[in-house]
Amino acid sequence: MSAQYQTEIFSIEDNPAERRLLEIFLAQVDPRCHLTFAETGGEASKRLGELAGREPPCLPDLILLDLNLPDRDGHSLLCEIRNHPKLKDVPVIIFSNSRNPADMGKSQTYQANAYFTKPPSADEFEALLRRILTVELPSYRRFERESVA
Amino acid sequence: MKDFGDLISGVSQEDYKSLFQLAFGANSSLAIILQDPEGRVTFWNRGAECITGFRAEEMLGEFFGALFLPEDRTLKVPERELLEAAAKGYTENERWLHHKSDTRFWGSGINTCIRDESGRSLGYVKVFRDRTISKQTEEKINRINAELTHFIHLASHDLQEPLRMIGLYLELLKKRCGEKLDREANEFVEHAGNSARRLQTLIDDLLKYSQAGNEEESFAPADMSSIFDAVVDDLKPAVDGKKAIVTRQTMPILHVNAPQISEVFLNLLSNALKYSRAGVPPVILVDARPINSEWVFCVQDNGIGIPENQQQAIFGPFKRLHAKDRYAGTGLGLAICKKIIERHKGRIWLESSPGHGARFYFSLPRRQNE
Repeated sequence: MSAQYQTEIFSIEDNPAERRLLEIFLAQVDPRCHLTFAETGGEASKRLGELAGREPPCLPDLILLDLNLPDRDGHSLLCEIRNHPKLKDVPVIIFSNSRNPADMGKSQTYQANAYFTKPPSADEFEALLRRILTVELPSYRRFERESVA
Repeated sequence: MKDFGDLISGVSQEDYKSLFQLAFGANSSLAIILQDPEGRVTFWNRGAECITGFRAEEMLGEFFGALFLPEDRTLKVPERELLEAAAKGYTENERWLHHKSDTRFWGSGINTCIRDESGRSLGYVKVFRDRTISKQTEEKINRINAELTHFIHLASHDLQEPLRMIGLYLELLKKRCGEKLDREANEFVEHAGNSARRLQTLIDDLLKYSQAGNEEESFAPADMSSIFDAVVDDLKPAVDGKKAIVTRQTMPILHVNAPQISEVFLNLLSNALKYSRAGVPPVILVDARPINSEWVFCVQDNGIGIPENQQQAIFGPFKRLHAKDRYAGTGLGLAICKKIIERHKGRIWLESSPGHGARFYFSLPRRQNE
């Protein structure tokens, strides 16, 4: 992943229309972000494993995870990430259409950093990405530093 | 020992039994069973034989409780039934019972405790029918209904996602490419966007409708006044915009699903605001009265009213009385209300004549402490 970007975001999203929206709104909110996509859970697992295996590991700053993936349940991928020795501390935000409290609860159990339902309008989409970059993400980093110390 | 025969003076025990046998013995669609005060069978007619599969000679002297399903016997249901009949005079009940062929049947009937002049129990008369077919039909309907509701829920959920994309891309088309499009193209985008939003509301309402029957959601005591006031607060822009006056009387605390009751008030108030007469500010009065075993709520308005021939149909799904461009809405609001109120074991109805406004009523059962 290139060093000219400040924030590396790895998105697991199978819907091309949703991927394009993420690109459009992220460019609007913060052009210094770089987005990489995986379209399936299997692809994500393989690519993330490979990034973590580099010397030194080349981890994304944030994983955006859709729960409804074509090949596997997003929660099982979350579980895999949290159990991976090198990926386990990477912030994971669930980005889903589900408003089901059971899904939200499960995401919390498997230690996602946050859960957001996909926004219904352009303004809300931008506002959410802005919030993730300026409020959510910095708070996770601080939390991790504290927990290490 | 005293027996039922003692009830009719001058008739011997034996005469009485044959009289009983003559009167009820041959009836084959209705089970008629006599039990002594301990619950042992003393009379077993033809109907009881047909319905249970057990012959009179197999059952005389046995406890009727033996026909209860093992799980009911563990819970002492047979004993409780007799105790209740003894305490109240009778007990009505419906339950699965054991048939001799190792199948079960749905017995529905009444068990009456018979006492002599001094109040001493002489035993019980149990009368029941085999309602297995109607019970099975009922269970099948409930199952199909649950499947259908689940399907509506899933379908509306799956419809939401592509629709969200359509809405967002139409928005982007307008925002980012609007200048490149001519007036006609912009108008088309506008119409498509409006339709997408309408469809979104429709799907939201469908989801609410499918959830209105969801048994898992909880009931708890809630102050109806505060539920109502919160709804009025949410509707403040519409209330102010129409210069409407909304007044309510004191309402009780009831055992309800608060978000759902809030939805009912929201729909009824929105309708009262929406269907107002041109140039006449809406005046909406809401009260709650205890009537018999219910609380009856009334939402009264001074709007355009509802023609008599449409008052029944108005609670059906997708029922709209007006053109879409005159009054916005999905046609599901009152259907949602009806489903919610019925789930609360209440009723919903209306009184109205065109030009004189409408009064929407709904009732909620009172519990003993309310």
